[in-house]
Amino acid sequence: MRVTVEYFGPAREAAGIGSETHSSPHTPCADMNVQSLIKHIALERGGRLATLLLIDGELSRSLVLAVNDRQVSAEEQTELRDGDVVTIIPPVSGGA
Amino acid sequence: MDLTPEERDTYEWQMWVPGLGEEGQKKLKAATVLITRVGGVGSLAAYELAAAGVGRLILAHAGNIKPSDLNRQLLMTHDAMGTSRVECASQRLHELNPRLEVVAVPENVNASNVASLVSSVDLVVCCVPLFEERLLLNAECVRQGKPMVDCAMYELTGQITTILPGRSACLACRVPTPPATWKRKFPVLGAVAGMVGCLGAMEAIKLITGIGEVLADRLLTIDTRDMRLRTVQVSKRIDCGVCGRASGAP
Repeated sequence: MRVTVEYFGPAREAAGIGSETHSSPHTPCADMNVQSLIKHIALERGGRLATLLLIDGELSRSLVLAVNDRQVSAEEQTELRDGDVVTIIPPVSGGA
Repeated sequence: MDLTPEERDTYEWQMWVPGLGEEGQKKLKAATVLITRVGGVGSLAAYELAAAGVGRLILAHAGNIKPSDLNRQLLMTHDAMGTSRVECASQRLHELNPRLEVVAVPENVNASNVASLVSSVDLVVCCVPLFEERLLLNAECVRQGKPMVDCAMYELTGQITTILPGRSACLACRVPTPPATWKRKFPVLGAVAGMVGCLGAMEAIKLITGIGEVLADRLLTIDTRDMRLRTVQVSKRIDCGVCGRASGAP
């Protein structure tokens, strides 16, 4: 199973890439839901990306997480399917 | 509110837009819009709304023009350096549209002025750089049932959504508290800020005239680095402290 993760705004800057593909041998992937995948990415990369995505080890409630352009909760597990596109959109407030 | 012959001449081409017409133009003329901060985003939002024939704009922005404003704040001028931002913006808007009524408020939105500012307009275009200010406006718009176009940018990216109180997710549904990671100073390219301002103006025009479909419950995200656009369906939170069940919001 392959899913694409897209990073927007500060997440792209912190990740150093616009998007990447993650793979798992299972279909659908019982051990890879949106929330665990993003936590895994944050912990693996660490640094600014982890600071942006995690608060006290949990996903920040201020992130917009989407699967195939539909928002999913940061607090509930959302199963992933082959070909899904996960989008990570941190909030921004630039206006001056 | 009828149009004068001069207004018919000025807005002839946009009244050809299907669904807008003379009735839509009259609605624009009768409308009052609050634009909070006329920086890189708000300058362009104000300029496009002035060009479109909105009758009255209230501009709220404290401070005087600084050199570092001029890469993006297109209503400011080099000659006016050191003078009031909102006064300069008002003058520039009148050069484009002398019929426009502008109320220049040399203050940023704060807890003391937010209720009166929001109560005096039909809708708000939020273009502020701080989440505290943005969330304050959001809460007041929800309380008063006024639509708010939420325009934000960072570096080469923009985010826009429209909040319809009582009907769609509000800002606090997705940003319950100011994120600690947001810093007051951030990278800005004027063309990106201006693009976001123009899109915000378009949302305001749609709200006023009723044409098209606004970004209620949708977050438009644009990355100009590779021109990726995403429109994400966002959800109202039932436990939202501003518009949720327990909030007492209308």
